Amino acid sequence: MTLPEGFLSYFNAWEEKIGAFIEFKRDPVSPCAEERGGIPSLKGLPFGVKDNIAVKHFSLSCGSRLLENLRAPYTATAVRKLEAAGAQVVGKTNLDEFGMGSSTDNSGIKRTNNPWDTSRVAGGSSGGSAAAVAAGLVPFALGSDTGGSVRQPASFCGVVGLKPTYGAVSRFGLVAYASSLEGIGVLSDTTARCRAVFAAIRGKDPMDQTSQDAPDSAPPLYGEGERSLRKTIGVLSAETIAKALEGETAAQAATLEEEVRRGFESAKSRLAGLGHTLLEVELPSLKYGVPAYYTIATAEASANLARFDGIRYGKRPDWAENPDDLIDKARDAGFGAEVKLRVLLGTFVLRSGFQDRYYLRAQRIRSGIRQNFEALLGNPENNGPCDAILMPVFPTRAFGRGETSLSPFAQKAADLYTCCANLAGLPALAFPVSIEGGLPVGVQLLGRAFAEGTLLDMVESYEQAYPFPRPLGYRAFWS
Amino acid sequence: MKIEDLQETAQLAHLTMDDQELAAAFPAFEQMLGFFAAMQAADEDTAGFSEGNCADSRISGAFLTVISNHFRPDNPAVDNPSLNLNENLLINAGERDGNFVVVPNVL
Repeated sequence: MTLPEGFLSYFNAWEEKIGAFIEFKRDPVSPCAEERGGIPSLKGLPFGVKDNIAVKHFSLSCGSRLLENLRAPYTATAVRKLEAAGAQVVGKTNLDEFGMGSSTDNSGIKRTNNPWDTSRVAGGSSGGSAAAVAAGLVPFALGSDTGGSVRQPASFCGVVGLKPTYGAVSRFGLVAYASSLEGIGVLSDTTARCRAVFAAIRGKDPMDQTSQDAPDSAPPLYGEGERSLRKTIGVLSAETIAKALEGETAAQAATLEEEVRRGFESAKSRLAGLGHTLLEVELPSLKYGVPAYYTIATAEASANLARFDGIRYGKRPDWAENPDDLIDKARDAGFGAEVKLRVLLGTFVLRSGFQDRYYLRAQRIRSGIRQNFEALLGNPENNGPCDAILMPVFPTRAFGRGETSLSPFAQKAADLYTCCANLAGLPALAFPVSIEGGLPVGVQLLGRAFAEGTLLDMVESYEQAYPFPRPLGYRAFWS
Repeated sequence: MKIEDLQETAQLAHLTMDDQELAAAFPAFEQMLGFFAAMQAADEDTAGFSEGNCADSRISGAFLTVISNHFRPDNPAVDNPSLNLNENLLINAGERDGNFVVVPNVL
């Protein structure tokens, strides 16, 4: 594979402004392609990979100073499948350290800016992948989504972001943060590309026992004629959300910015105009989403990040008095403030005597949230009254830094719209619907388990009617 | 919550955090304690975990039941008193190799 003429100067100009990549290979060699029948070819396409997903011989920093010089000893299954389809990794993209954050400003390596306005964040934690796709540096990139880390940056940068059903894509090679919530997702310039990438990476993998093939009853990913069908979309409106959050302290942080509300309303009327039936729905358990999500995520993070002890991975201090001192020093020097905070919170959650009160209660709430969704959407065997649920992605557009920044507390509360899909293990597809004040606004469609095909059909027909916007200076190198 | 609780938790997590860093973590702990309080309220919130509602009258009256769990089936085999402890453990293994449980490498 050779990069298109003029691409490198284009790449350099953008990369200097946005800092999407931690590592970029400027002289890619021709990959050994194996085409798969029936799936649009990914052959010859370059792609980026979030730097918490292993690609042999590439960096695997996870955005942490602790792992800054770590090179991956093997390749993640999702990446291997894309390479087998003829695509080639050209670089590793920036992220919030270990995927913890909503801005990519928590990266210990570098800062990533939004291609639409470089004074603003690209979102997170897959901000590097989203910015790279939005600027046209790669046609698609892999990210990981634990509580919205693919969909929120996709929305901030105006690209497509797919969080697949839990287990639909192997997590082998994804550095674990919160194992029961996270999965590898896709960020792409078009819906068709997103579908092709998902088609290539999905499926059971013997290296990940939580992975599985889509059941026979699931809608096909390439449904012949399916795309013309009109669907029923449940709409979780701003008013319904406000009602669900009544009396909650987090309500203010979750209130939609006027521009986002406008974009959301525009999406509703456009989807209705395309022939879909829209129904107002309620998710009464929504208000418990963020508390349950943060309890589970921090608990699992404290357990998963215990492996970073300076002995097996990453930087080691020059001197230590004993093994405990070595671990303390390595973690103190290597972890950033947000990671330390979440590990601390997670350790607190899992302390002796607290597990029942906090962690197990959060798991019970999680089951309740999943049941709420299943009552509306059904499951692969029995369809519910709605084919998808339309929701906002984030209450604001890409936020700024300094005084215009969003506080860490507000950022966590704002995960409300995205984290429920992770708690329920359901697929969700974010896509841009409008430009408000010069910045993209995205919405998301949640579907029943393994119904990615339905979501992609709906968004692809939307894109045909309302092509996705591109930032100023964007040039399309990839057909 | 006292600073001593945080110090002890930090020690358990192998995190060296001075008093200033721990004091900075206090607001986050307060937020977390707020989350815990909200979750406690969920125990008595029967409306919060009723089935999802639709404004459409055709649907709101429908009987909606959760039929199945889409996560990987996890149905533990029942303990068999006639087997020894090892065998009872092995019958629950996702994959086994002779007398061993196969655990794949996951980074």
